[in-house]
Amino acid sequence: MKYIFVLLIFLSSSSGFAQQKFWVFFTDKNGVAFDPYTYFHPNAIERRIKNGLSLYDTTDFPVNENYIHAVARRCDSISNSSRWFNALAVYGNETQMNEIRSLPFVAGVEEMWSYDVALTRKIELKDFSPGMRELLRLQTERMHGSAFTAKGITGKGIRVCIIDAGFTGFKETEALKHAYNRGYVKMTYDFVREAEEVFLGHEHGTMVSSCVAGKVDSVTLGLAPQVEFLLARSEKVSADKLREEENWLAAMEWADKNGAHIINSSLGYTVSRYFRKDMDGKMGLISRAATMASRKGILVVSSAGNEGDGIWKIVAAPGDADSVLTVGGINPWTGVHASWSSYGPTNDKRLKPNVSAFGNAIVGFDQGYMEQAGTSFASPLVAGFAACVMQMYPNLNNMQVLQLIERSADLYPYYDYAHGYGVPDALFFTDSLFQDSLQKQDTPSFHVKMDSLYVRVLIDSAFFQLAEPGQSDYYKESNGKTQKEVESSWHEHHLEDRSFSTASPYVYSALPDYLFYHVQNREGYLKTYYVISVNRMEVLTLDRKDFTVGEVLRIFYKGYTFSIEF
Amino acid sequence: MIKYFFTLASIFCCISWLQGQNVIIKQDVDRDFEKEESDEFGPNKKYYKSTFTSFGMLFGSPDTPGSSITPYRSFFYATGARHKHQFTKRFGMGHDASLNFRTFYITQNSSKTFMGSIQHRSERLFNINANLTIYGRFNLKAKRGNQLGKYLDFALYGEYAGLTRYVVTDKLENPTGAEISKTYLRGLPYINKLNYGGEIRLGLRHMLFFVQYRMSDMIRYSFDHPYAELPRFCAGVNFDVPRDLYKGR
Repeated sequence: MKYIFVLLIFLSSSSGFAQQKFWVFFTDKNGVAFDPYTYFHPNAIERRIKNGLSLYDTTDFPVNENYIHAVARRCDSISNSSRWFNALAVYGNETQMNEIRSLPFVAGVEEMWSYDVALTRKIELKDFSPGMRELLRLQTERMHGSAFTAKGITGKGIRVCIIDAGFTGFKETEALKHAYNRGYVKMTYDFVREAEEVFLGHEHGTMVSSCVAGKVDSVTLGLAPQVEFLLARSEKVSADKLREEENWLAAMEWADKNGAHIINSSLGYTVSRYFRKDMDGKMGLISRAATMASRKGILVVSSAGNEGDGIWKIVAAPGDADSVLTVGGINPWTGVHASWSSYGPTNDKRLKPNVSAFGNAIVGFDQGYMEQAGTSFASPLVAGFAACVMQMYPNLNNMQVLQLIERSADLYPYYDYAHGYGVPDALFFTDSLFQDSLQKQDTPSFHVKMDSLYVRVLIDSAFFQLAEPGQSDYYKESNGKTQKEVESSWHEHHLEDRSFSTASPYVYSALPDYLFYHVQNREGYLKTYYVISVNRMEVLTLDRKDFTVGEVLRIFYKGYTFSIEF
Repeated sequence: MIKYFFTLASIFCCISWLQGQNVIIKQDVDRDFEKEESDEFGPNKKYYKSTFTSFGMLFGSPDTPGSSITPYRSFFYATGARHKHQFTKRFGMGHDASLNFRTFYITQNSSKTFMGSIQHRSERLFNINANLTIYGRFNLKAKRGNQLGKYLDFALYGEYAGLTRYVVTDKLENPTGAEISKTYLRGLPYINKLNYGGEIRLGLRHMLFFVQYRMSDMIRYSFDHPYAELPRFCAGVNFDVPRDLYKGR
């Protein structure tokens, strides 16, 4: 028995005194030499010039070698370095870190900690059923992707870096064979094993890549089958988690160095590492790294996360970062936000997600194809879309592309924290008439009547259309209670998700004809937002006394947005 | 009468449906964030509540070989509620209130002296205890998001045996035809109902490995009942079920 005690105490002490990992941040890069023309890929230089960025930005300078040596003498070992954050990742213990903290050129020391990957659930389908074919067609066509294809836009010449947990099956999957065989995979690096081979580990990265560039015969899984890939494996699922944060950052810097135009990150980090209040884009190192990548001219596309129906609920890091294009998930069979897709806003009340795409998609993997669910796949669908935009408009910088993608989305200028600005539309970029019609403002599809007591919204008779059958889930759940009775017991409600297996194979090819409205408070963020189906022409009656001065009511129906400020 | 009722109900439903908006999605952002800001409950917040289930084995050397138990058959099961009050990111205190079940299977061999030297087909002492455990929790990592992380608990427990049974099973060979005889004894005068001990636990998020050591004597030694103390150790695994798991949003 005493051995058990000894063993337990040994186990606990070994955990307590295990080798820890830290970030050591330096104060400066004094005396460091840097030649951008030998360090950067020509693409990276071109991107910097296009974005008006200095080629001699100190954040690109290497870490001072003298500092590295000084720290190396005081810790167990050095694991990695970060140019962007002027930092070293080191192994050591608290005593050593205290000594390092006292060095005059050390700005701070932070302990690293581990976290989990929010991977999506796996649904395997044996064959392409009619419903599956429809989903495959619409996962890109919901964004009118064929408009890019018709103009020969395939993402050619655009470098997309996929940072993920592994790329098993990338070479074998039929969906990505064209990319591999034609040499579109330009560079690979496994930051977990520090080796070039990345076609191992989890297959998540392969599935994600297939949503950027996958093809089944003439049908595309993603919109950009000719993009150049940089594949970075940054983590090993269910293994040593100390390296992950460092690997993610190293992969970002590697992507920058090697000329990436777009970085897709379909990995979200939530409760195991952060509190909800940390989701302000400034707390997490990975969120700050994503912001830094954006400042270097790279378009960072990130999944919103799959926490919408969980306790966490809001976007996952790095999707909380300010200049990241965060993508939420749409349920293809309801046409609106999928209940599990993470909501916005960020903790500092910024709009997230920015846009949405199908959260259920057909993906490629080594055994063929399967239907997968998760914002992990919505994100690369938009990354492929962005690659096409970048190919069409090579002079746009990353933030211009981000803003135009938002602008192209089907709810714009309306937005909410479930859909962002909605689903991007390729016609906005390919059809000048379509672009013009958006700029001119659409014909009003409804009218708003206000008196001293009520605000009434009336659908224009030319646009009135009864709600489709099957849109009455809310009423079904209310068990005969009136709307007010039901709403008094709910501060939130969500239409029940439909899935391929339980619903008809009808997939929404456009935004459903629902009325969207939100109330924006004086602080500038949304207080509440609704999506309601239209059952009669006088669709909405709101009490004026529910609004305070400075609040804005914004309503969207069939492409038309109307705002009232109280 | 029933059909009139149904007709009226249908009309009422139709009218309600036409009058009401058919809400597809509704979100109250302010309320959501207010809840978060005021929420002091969570694995790495000020308060944390959970329920738990434990499984373990009783083992150890008795004071004399006469009270040896068979470890793999002598088991421990507990179920209860846990409360934690976190003072700093690295330190918290809490208590567990639980019911536990302990069964000591007395090894039947020639050196057995517990309850006499007669050997039976099986012989066990079974009790159900109300247990209160007070613990101090030391987290091994301060930065762990809103999760329990890795931690070490040092605990003291006290428990009261509400029910104690001594059960002897024998195989019969007699002309009545009965094959098995089971004898239950209760009101055992040599059992101390109140016991206490120490516990050490190593927690990995919601799973805890524990070892308990009973400091008190469970057997009250006397001239009439000269039985040696039973083994004092118990080790096993505890599954902590977070409140969030069954709390609807």
